Amino acid sequence: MRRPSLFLAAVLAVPSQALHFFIDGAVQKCFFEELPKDTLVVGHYDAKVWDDATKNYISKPDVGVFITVEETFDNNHRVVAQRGAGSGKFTFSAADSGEHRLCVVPQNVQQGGAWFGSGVHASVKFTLDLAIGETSKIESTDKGKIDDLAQKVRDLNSRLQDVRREQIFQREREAEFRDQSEHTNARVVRWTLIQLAVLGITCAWQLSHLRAFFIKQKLT
Amino acid sequence: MRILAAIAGLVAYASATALTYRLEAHERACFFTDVKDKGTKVAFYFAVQSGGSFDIDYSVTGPNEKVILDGTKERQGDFVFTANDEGEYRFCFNNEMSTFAEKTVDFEIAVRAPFHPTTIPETSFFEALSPPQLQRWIAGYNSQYDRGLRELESNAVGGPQVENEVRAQLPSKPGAHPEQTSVLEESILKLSAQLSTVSRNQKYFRTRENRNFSTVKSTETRIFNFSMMEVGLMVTMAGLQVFIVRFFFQGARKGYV
Repeated sequence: MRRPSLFLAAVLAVPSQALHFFIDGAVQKCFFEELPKDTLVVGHYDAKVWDDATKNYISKPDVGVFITVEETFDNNHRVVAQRGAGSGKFTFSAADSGEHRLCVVPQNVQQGGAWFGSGVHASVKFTLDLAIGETSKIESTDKGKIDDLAQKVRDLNSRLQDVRREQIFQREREAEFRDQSEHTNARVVRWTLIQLAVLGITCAWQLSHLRAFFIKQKLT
Repeated sequence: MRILAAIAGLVAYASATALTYRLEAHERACFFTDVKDKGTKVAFYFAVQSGGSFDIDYSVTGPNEKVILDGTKERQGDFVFTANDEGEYRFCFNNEMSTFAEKTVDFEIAVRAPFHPTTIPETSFFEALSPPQLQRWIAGYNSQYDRGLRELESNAVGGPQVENEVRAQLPSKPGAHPEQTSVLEESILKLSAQLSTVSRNQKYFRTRENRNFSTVKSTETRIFNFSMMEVGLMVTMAGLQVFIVRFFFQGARKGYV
């Protein structure tokens, strides 16, 4: 009787208790994620609009969501540009290590106004469930299948892979940091020498100018 | 299908969402989560990654505007609280204190539903199930519990703490030795908790590294600015001195100084 695990999986497929926030009309909301190379990101989203008739947030069929992922370290190179329905899932894998900007824009929604009463925040309620890392592979397919010792160990293994990838990413960052420190150090030396040079030149100019002046004035 | 019904009542799932959001100056951003059961444990972690003096105002409000957590100018925070009311909980970040600095905040909100043993009648229920059925039922529940426990242990203040709740120790495969398998499960749970600690530490180091990087960058620009200012000042002073001395010895005052 394998039904229990399937039943659990069905219940957990919808991000019912995930985070949600409110967007006022077709405004873009962005999140920045620093991702190591080859990280898989899976997101489940759901956009609901405020309906005055039922005084609640409902799913309308013509509402869509435009999702973009850009690499901010590579001149905002767009990695993902996906137009989807009001509710769905998106997946992408980070090709390079660095900061990625994830933006969502609801489509076909009206602007919010000052006529919202108490208890209502804005026109679009956006639910987002983001899973980052190799464990997201398991979460995206079947959440209920972790009822086996072997599966638990596999889950531990993929989490370790996440840790390993983050370590490699930190090494790269530390190398960049070291370069930056060395650069700053070289800059200190350079500007000190420039300042000394300017000081010397100014001193020489002062003395020669005053000497010429006094000779002209017949005082020396 | 009493078993299915019981399992439906026992679904103890957990959800955790980790996001990084950039707050502009004078911006207030709120994130919401719904709590459906009383006694749900909610874990809230945030750390300012970049911007200004790396601090931010935050507040956590429950339904009926009940303030649960509140703080000003905090660099990072790690809290676990029990949600006693059902409804919408609001987690807000406030950057109104900055005039022009934009702040990047990395936060994680994890919700773990509690274990409600109310749907199980007393021991008669367990006796009615055959051992393989019972094993599979408990193993299925256990896995969800473990996931939630993992999330929570990594978020709990003071490091990993094992919750003092009912844990089933039956083997997950029929025929396996009960004591051996439970020892294995224990060690896997310990490994899982340690791994959560490791990943939490990594997050901490990433935040610190961001701060260090920002300090070094700011040092670099400061050096350039101050050098230019000093050079300008030096040249100006030299010129001023020369012209004042010339003024003393010029015109009618020639020879009288």
